Amino acid sequence: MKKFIFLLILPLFLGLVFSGCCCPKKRAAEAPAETVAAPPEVNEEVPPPAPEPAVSLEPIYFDFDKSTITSDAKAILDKNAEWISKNPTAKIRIEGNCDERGTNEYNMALGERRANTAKQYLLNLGVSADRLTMVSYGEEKPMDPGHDEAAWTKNRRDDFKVVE
Amino acid sequence: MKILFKIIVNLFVYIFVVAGTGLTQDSGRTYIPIWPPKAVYPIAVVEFKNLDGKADVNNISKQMAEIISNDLDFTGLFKILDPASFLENPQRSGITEQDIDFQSWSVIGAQSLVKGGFSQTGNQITIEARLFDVNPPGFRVGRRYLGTKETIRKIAHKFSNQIYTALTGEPGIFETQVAFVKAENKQKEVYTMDYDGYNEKRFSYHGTITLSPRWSPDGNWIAFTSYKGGSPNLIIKDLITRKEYVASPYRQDLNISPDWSPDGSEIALTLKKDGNPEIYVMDRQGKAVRRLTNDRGIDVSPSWSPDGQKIAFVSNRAGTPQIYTMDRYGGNVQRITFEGQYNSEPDWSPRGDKLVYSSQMGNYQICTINPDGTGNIQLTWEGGNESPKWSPDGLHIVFTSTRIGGKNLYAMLANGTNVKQITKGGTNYSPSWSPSLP
Repeated sequence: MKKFIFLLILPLFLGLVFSGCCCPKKRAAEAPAETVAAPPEVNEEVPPPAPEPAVSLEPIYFDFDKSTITSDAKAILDKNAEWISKNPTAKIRIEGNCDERGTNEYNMALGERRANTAKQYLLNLGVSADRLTMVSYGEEKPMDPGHDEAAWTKNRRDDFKVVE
Repeated sequence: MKILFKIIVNLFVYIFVVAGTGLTQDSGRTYIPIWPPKAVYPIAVVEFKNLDGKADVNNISKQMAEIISNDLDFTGLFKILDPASFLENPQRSGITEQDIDFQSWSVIGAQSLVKGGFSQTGNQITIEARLFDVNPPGFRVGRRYLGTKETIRKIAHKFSNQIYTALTGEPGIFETQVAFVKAENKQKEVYTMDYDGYNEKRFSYHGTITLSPRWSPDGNWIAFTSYKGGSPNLIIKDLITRKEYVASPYRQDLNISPDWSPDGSEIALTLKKDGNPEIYVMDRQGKAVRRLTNDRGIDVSPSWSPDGQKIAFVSNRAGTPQIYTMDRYGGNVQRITFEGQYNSEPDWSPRGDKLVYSSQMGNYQICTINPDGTGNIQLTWEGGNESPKWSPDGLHIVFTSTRIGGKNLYAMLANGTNVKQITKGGTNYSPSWSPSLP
């Protein structure tokens, strides 16, 4: 039993003695210097911005944190559907937008829902699905950069851009 | 026999507890407790000694002391002693254990002392730095660094980490970085900077809107959302080579709010491929997509728990945006916020015990809550405060605030104290704190 215990503690003692010997070497004066280099610079260029479509149909507006179509918006969507049917080659990009309140990520999803409700409404009026695309800009593209209700009202909107 | 047993137990404690920390010199030492933070541990940080007498054109002497002092102050653990109270001339007194008059530091109340020196050869700068105990006097840790004027801040941060670890037994965060979005001329690009706001560098070059930067757990990549290509895509970009790729599974569609799994192998994000913004998990190539949520509302902003078993997210399935948790396969959904009409952008603490989020209370404010929905606490009160993210040690929170007008990044301790403004101008928001970087 004693022999067993001795064998067990022997390597532990050696470890202690060994690590004890190492300690003084960690002192600054003897430690090898650490070289600290700046990361390499990489040159990168910005691509030219995509051109904005010149023609837009009338936008529709939403209530805060809502993606349901108001009665005012229905009248505008009816007019927009009429324009689309009179211009059979036009393709429309529906852009959902939000006001700055709320978080950027949630507003991305909310803008998507706003674009989608307008799309569904237009599909129900007979507009064909291959003429409509959607994108959400969340709160990233405000029409009015202000921070009050007047600005927010303008920013909770769907734009209808004629892309082709 | 009993004595022998005691020796064995003590040795095991030594080998596994003390030696395991790599702090063999400090066996038997008590560390400063890191939580709750009490700014009481008195430490003197002395301007560095100009060892070769050449002109200090880079102001290394004062810079080293200032950066280290700011780092230590950031933790909320230290009382940084006023250099005006120091009794010796730092350019004449010694910087090694043998040459320091510890009595003169003891009388002004210092418990620890940071001293160092530097010399210059051409562009190369050599900096040596040491930490001492004052009472009883003793050497704690020392390092020598070779660098240039561009790496002075990095060297100071490196030694701050040494000090922090020597005094607390925990790794420091002073070499970490923060990624964020900067808006300029209607363009919004991802930038990175040191955790203290210095060394700002542009990271994305998309010439459009980018958002939601998220640092990968290994620190080598940043995932972000970009409108380059027209619709919001997920981009993953290498920090060193600057090469990037589109990781979106559905390119002309919604690919937003990414969050890396703790092991870095998967990304949770919101897609609308099935008609409605839902949360999915995929690999980092955008393959092996699996759906987690399934309801008629919006589901967005996933955040993994540090053990990778759960995901917190935002849903408006009950009428207003609220925070929920689910397991990593989408089961066991539980709502955890019930106060207020708009709770969103959760971030799960790397310690696992809290989530931080923003809540609408007039303005938006930062709050923390336990993962089971108990114990919610409001941490900010001034201006509007959004997009909170944890530091890798789970002791700090970085966030966006409008408290002085505009949008800037701030950091605070996890209990809301010790608030520091990090960005000082422009429009800066949506931060992501890096892991500990090499």
